[in-house]
Amino acid sequence: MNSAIHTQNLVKNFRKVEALRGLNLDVPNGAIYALVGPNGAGKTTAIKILMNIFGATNGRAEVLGIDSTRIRGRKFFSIGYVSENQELPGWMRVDAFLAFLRPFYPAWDRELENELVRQFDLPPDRKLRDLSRGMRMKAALAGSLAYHPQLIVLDEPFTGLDPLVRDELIQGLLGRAEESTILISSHDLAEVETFASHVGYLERGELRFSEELTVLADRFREMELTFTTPPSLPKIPPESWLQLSSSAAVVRFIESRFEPEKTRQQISSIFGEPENVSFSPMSLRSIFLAMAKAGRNSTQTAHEGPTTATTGTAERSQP
Amino acid sequence: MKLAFHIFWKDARYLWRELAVSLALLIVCAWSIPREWTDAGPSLYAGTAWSVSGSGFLNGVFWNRLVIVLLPVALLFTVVRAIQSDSLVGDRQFWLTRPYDWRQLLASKCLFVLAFVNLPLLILNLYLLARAGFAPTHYMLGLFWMQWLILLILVIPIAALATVTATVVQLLLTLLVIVLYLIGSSFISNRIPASQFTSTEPLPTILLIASPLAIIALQYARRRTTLARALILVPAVGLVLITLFAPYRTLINRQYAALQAGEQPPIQLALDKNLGTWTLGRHPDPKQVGILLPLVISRTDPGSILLLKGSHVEVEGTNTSPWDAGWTSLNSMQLLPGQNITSVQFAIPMGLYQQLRYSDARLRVTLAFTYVRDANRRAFVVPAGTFPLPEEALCSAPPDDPARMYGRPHALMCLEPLHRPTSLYMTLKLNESTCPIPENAEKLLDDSTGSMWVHSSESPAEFGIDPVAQFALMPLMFNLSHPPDLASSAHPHPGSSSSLSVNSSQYLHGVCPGTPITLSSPQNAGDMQLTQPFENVHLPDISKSHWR
Repeated sequence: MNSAIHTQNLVKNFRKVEALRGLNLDVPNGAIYALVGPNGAGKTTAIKILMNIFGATNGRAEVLGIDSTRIRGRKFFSIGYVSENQELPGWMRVDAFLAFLRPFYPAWDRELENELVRQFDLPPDRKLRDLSRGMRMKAALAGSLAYHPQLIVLDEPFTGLDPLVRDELIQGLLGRAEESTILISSHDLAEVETFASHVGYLERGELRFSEELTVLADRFREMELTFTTPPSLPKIPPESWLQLSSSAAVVRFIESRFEPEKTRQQISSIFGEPENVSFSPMSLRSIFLAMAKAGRNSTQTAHEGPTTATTGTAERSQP
Repeated sequence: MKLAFHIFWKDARYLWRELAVSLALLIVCAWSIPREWTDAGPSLYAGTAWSVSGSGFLNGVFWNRLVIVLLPVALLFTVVRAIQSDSLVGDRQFWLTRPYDWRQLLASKCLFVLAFVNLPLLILNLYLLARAGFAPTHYMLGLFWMQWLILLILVIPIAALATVTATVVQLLLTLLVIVLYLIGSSFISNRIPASQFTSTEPLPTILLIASPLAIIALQYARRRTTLARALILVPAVGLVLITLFAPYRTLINRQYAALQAGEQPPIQLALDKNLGTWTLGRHPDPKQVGILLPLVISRTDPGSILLLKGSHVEVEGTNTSPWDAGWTSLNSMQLLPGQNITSVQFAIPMGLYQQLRYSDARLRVTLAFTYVRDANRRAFVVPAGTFPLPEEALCSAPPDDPARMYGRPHALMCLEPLHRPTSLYMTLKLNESTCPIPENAEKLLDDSTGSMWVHSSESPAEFGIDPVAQFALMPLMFNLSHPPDLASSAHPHPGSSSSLSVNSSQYLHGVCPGTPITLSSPQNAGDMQLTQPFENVHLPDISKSHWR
């Protein structure tokens, strides 16, 4: 079993709304996989299907080698799940909450529990409903890490948290990264970038790309070409070029399949030899924004069927 | 099971306030129910405690009754909160992604119900039985049966609703819809008189028991809320369909078997023409005419009791085709020994009635009834103080009987464990009453009698939280040796005595210490139907202005 999570053509419809449209996701064992995407992309839906909170309309999913529809009861011994919108028993104190969870897990580690309480600075005698949102997330995470889960699934854990709490959560997670596979859905790309090993970009229920973060970072480049005279932009740019624009004699675009030699040849064949070529690596946030804009434009032009990964349309700005 | 206990304790800690309130109400009930046995005596006569006069709603009986109602409400509320504390509706509950096994979760909730509903009620029942003077351990089977009924009738249906709702408010709204449904279905049932005395069992009971159980099992095992909610509709629709489409004629014929050829009928019917001629009455439907047939019933066994269930009339004129008026419910009207007049109502179209005004008709009247034979008759002189009666009742004839406040005869006030008597019939000769009679009271003739029949179903216990059933034995049905006085009884109630005199003197002749009474235990001899043809009946002679 190489994948901790594997989905195959996963479809979920809520009445007439298609939340997932044939999702094929693979989360390698040991990965810290960041599932990113705009609001309504289907991240939470996908995760809830994986956790068997609800069923898929079509397709199948496996979690730790088990069909997701069979994930219940003891299967959760090896899965830790925390969600931003999870309803915790607010009437319980933090210590009572952890004590309540303890007997459910044979592998519960009291030392680790104490360590997490200390690390997260959790007040044991406070009721969960009296805690701040960040504190509640930390309490939930402590209750999901203390039994050494093989798989940790976090659904938007950083939403609305201050940087300090985020950092504490990330540190807590990284502490468990060696023994667990982590799937995390998030809007907070800057944070995810600091610790994720893999990233998947989900948009309108489809996975646009899914790869190792280092490979992704190598693949995307902001390109800036300087010409002696203003060039004319191609009517149909290469699929891998996103946000193509020009301003006087400068052409800018984002190359989503950057290979130095191949990209240079493409540029030459379209524009001729530029006076200067500069390219810079992109942050995950910039990549995400480029992909999101490309996706939105493709929706607006509404001429395509299901989009395939790493495609985009040219965006032209008039000089 | 360890985890079931773990979840159970979590719920107990979470709901400590609700449990404290329930416990307090339980203690109040243990104090107030015995008061009900004495203070609420009048309610046995006045109909319901809510209407007991005196200080209105502030009187003790009102508060006793209120507490008795509040206790099950509080217990059910706690059960609902316990179930919804691990809500099965929604996708955000933390426990959904924890190693909760559904069997353990369900077991924890069952444990909660047993520990905080059934056990306290059982203890309350044991205490109340002991307090009433009965040995509680003799009635364990009946007490368990009471708890089973509470589970079946109250807890399981409410628990089923709690599994498909996320909040108490949602549950209350669902209950409101159910109440509206019940009102609607009773309206439908009233439109089909045969449904009121014909049993369509076991299908309705199966539906009512199986549906909540299926909902609970489905929700805990699969959390299929939409499907589970749809299952609520199964008994709702099923019961209406059964009411609408049950083959009533077949069921009546099966349930109330006709007499075999040559078999001696236990009763005979005759038209009572002594009641005189009555003007034509108005029927709610202007195209119909209401007919009320006064019948005299004679019995082969004068000591038998009849429970009249339904009547069916066919009318055929000389020049008209037969008209079938269908079955009408007689609401289990009792005809005690000595009572021999009843009436059956039916409606015929105005056109047919007009045709029959000037010619005679042939009527075929069928009565469906339960025949109860007198048995185990014995004479008994009421002693002073508390004394046992058959079927383990403890009775007394209190000298300051509150019944007198309501103009009713002195009565025997009785307590019986678990249920009222299955069948206990009391008669007394009114002139042998030892109750104090004022000098100026009208004298009754020697053979005037008063009687009362107390009966209940033959189950191990009645449904409720009080294991001590109360009943009063008092002569309420009179067979007086006065000539009928039609002038003073313009609207005799069907089923009333053959002697219709209303004489307040008989109410003075009750049961007091020293009064000789006769007790018997009439036995059900079966449900049957009897058809009697009546030739040459002139309908206007017997049509009455009275239409119920």
